[in-house]
Amino acid sequence: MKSATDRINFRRGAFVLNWLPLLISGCVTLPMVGPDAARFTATAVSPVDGGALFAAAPGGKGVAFSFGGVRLASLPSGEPRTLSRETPLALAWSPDGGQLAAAFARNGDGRITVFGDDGAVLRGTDVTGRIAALFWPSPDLLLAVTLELTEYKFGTTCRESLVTWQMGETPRQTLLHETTLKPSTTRGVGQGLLTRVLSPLISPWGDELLYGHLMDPPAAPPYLKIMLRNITSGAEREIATTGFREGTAGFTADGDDLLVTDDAGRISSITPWSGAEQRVLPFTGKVLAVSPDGHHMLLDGRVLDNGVEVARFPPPTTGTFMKNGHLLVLHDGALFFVSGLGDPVPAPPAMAPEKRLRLRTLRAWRSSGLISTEEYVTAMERLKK
Amino acid sequence: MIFVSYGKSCLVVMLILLAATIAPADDCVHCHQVTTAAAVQQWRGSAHARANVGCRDCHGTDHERMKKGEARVNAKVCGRCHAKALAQHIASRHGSGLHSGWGCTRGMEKRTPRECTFCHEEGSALPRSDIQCARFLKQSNEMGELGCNRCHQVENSCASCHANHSTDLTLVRNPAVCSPCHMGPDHPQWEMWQTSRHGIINSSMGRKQGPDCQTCHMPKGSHDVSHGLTINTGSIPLTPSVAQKGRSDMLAICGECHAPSFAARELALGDAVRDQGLALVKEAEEIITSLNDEEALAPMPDKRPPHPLSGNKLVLDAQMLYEDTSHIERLLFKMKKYDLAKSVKGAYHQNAAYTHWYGNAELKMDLVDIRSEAERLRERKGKGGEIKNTGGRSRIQEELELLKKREARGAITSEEYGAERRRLLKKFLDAPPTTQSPPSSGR
Repeated sequence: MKSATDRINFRRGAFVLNWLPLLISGCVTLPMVGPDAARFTATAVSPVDGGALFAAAPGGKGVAFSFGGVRLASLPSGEPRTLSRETPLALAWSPDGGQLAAAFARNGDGRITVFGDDGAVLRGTDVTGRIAALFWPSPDLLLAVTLELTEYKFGTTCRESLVTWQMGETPRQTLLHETTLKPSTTRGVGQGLLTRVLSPLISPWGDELLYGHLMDPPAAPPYLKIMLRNITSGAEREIATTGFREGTAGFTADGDDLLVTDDAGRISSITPWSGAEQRVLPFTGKVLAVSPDGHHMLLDGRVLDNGVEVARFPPPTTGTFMKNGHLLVLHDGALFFVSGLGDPVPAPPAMAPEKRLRLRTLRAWRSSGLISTEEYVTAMERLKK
Repeated sequence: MIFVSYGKSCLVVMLILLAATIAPADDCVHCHQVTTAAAVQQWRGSAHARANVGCRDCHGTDHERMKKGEARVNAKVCGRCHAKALAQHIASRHGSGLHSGWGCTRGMEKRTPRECTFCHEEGSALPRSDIQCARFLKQSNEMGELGCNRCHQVENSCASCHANHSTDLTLVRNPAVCSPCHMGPDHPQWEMWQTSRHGIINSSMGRKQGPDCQTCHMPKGSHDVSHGLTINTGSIPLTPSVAQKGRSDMLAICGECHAPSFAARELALGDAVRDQGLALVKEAEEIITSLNDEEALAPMPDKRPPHPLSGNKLVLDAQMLYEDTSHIERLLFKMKKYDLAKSVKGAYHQNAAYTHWYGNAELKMDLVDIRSEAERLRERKGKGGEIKNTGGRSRIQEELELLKKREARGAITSEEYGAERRRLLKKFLDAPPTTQSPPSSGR
């Protein structure tokens, strides 16, 4: 009788066998429909593991993903190479794209390993709890969101934490939220999948974290409070509530606003630190990605250009925009590179590190109410000049 | 025969009367005249004994509970017969739950179950009243019993002033009965009355010439000890309507000996001394609040054991502590709790020395100390003591934080706050580039 691991390996092997000839011939494509579908090309990159984990390199030249370990491939298509045989839980590129951090499971806790361009392990650290997400917002700072689960007869206690790893120092762990889940909730979601419920994201400026508080009141269904936290000031704000794995949220291109989808698929644009300012977008959907220039969206597998649907992938397709404006999508266990959305968005003139630092300071002050949103906007405009 | 029958009848009637007199207590007295002889002796001479009120009427019949000390006679028991006195007592300052601490003490070290009844009716989780006392909650149970509740049990214990078993009113008509609690550094009414004109006349010429505590504060045997008061805890004036009635009541008492205009003038002088004292305290409070805003207190509240009611926050109100605090706060504690009380109560009790030297002069000297200590703390902070002067842009952040706190507590208007914020933002944007790190990270 085969073990579960054997079965997974067998499935992965069978998948590779199916894919291999197609990859070699370069013929794997993703059928698309829609008025402008012809202008898009989706090129297969690689099959990926069930967790559908990948991270595009900042320059857009490569992608790291999970498939029987940590693998790297150049884009749009290239021979993948293996960095580690261990299945990662999260991946994050350094801001310059020269290094890759991968999170792994270690006896119920986590380990972060940093790989060099040549695959050499440069450094690593252990953290308490399962790693749900990994971010590399500045050259010397790695962040991780972790979930510690402790099972009792009456339920499972969950401690969500933010790990701040200033390179060269011992990581610091800050409690974000603690709750107890009913046994039925843990059974329903599956303990191993609870980390995915949190869906943490980091702002384009690398200073604000969007994540979920797991909530499970005794006499009501479990739900998720979507929270925004400024990592510098520690200030937090509740953005929305949604069912487990129902709604999603993401940053807009400039990182100042949020797009939040609710259980019914309504999408609201929220300016988080100024209060309840909301605008409902004229289209619906749940799984959302926004291009860095803000013109394109991927919404439940539909590509929108300034709010108008131009193409549609076969469901279910999810994905993310790279910093150069190209799109990476996942469909049926495979990763595709999508071109044709127009010229790659030229990288915005890089803000000088000193100005970037000031901007992050202003954003931290805004989050803790030291300056108003209007004052922030005025100051930001002056900084950008 | 007739005489014999008459004699027998008389004997029977006398025996019945005697039995009726001793029946309520006799089975207790049998043992207790040996084990607690003084109690029995006092009871025998009391109005209770004469009125046929025996041990069981007050203590009940559960001897086991009595032995455990759980059947103490509280004010409610007395109130079954003395309803009017109890009602007056409850309505007065004495009846306002002075011993209660908000926040259950059961989790605290060495608390005994018997202490629960200080704050709760037996069997009830609800507190008797909402009076809080952080200083009580900081005490060991021995200190709580001896140092706090021996006085503050007065809410629920008539025996605080009356004797346990004697009903002799000589005791409670003697002003010294007030002295065990109304003395000492925090409110020395006993001392200031004794050395006042009223007290000296009283000791020389008797209470008909020199009024005592009961004369003014419990007129005509009232149990409302708040009669005629115009200030609350901390010498804070009562609301105008309540204070006006209190003043009118007190003037009526003064008027029994003095011309109304003289009495009114004397009390008005007291009001002025009170207001001047409160202004000094307010200035000191403002200094300490500003230091807290500037994070210059040493130690700051978040670096101390938490306040029992408010946690790691600065507390300068009636729940202020004298322990686990900073030196400058301890100076303010003395100012508010001791010196303000001496000055204000000294004035109302017509004692010049307490009003001035023990009170007002000390208040002023306290303020000198507090100003000087504030200067030292600010200098210390500037030199990068416990709290580092981060300089540059972080300094602007500190100023913004300070402004926000000041606006929140009404020390500056929202217009002033906005103008200052804009000034600091301009300073921030105009500052030349530096290589400083962000204000903090991953807090």
